[in-house]
Amino acid sequence: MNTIREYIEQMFKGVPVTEETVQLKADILGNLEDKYTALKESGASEHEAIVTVIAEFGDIDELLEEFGVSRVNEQVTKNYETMSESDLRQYIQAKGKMGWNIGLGVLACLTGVAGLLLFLAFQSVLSGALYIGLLFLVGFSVIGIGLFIIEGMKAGELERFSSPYIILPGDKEQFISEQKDYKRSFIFSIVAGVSLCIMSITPILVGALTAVLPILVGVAFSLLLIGVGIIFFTYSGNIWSAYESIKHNGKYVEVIEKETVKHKRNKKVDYVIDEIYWPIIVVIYFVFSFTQGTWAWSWIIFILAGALESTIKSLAGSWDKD
Amino acid sequence: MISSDVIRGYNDTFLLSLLTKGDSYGYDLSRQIRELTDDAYIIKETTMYSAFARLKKNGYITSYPGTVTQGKKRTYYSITENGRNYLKEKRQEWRITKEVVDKLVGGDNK
Repeated sequence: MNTIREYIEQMFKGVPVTEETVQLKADILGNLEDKYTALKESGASEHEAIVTVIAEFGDIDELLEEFGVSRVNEQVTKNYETMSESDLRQYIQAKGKMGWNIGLGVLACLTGVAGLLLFLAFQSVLSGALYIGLLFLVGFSVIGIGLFIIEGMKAGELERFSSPYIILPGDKEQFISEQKDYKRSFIFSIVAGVSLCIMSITPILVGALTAVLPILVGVAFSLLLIGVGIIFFTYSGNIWSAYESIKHNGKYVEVIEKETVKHKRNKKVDYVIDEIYWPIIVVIYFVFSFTQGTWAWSWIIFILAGALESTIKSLAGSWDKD
Repeated sequence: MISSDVIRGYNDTFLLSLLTKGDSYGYDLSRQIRELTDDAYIIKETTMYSAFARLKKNGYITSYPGTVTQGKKRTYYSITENGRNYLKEKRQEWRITKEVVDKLVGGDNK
């Protein structure tokens, strides 16, 4: 019986480990063992049974071809993780949830500020409004920052998806076509988010130009609208970037070694952008907005910075090629 | 024993035909093929699983994990409506093929 098991192990050596191939291997092994047992029961000797079973195994390459996998250098499958379709589906889901929670965190922080402004607006009729307002600010900021921290910690679990891994051709095609289908929702979300941010100027204008509501109340509502708008960006943006990441990091087993060298160089650029570029933009945004009071339109810096990011990346990419 | 070259195009049809009698799993199907043909044809494991993969891809069968028997969790296969229609076509095709081959190769009944 052990001989059969070893034979199957040998046959499946170097085959990418996926849910599908693991099941296939288990099924075939099970069949061969059944066959072996039946032969023994019908009076065959140990040797005869094993020879017959192995002779009836067939040609592994025929099978792998049908499954669309190719056997590779064992080293390659050891060096790189193989992601199954369900792994990647969980990844997209986790990214979406992360985007949603980060958006909620931003909304919570903005709600805190908006609450403070609202109470300040009614300071003349409500004694202690400043303190209630501050309490409001602190409470919501804690929720918001809490969400950031939780999501930041969860991001570590998704680390393995940020370096190259082996993907099966069928799965990659599937995800690329799913991304195409998702494009409409993505564009809709971006348009909705931008519209909300632009609309957010209305309450401020109403506050400034009419007597309907105090300007502070106007700013408060404006912040809330921006907060909701940001959720659209972070949620759909994260799902979109998950698909993009699968497209870039999911590599076919035959080419993964060659393509990874390139990836390592690009990673340095990505690191600079993620760790230095964006924090600087955020700092500029806050400093500028606080000192100049330009909250209504200074968020545009993120759109400009986003546009500039791809330019920087492609410039860095073209330098690399030289 | 028949050479697998001759029979290559018919493995998918054999499996579909057996599955019309009810859902089944790998070992049981290969055993049925051997017994029905009095050991004249034994399907190889890899041939059978290639056929399963093809049939599944075309939507002719579906698979599901069966309950654990004798410590093994087997994959069961079930024929779909599409599979039944395809089988009907293949049966028709076989009737014609049989006549043609018989006329050209058989020869001795004239």
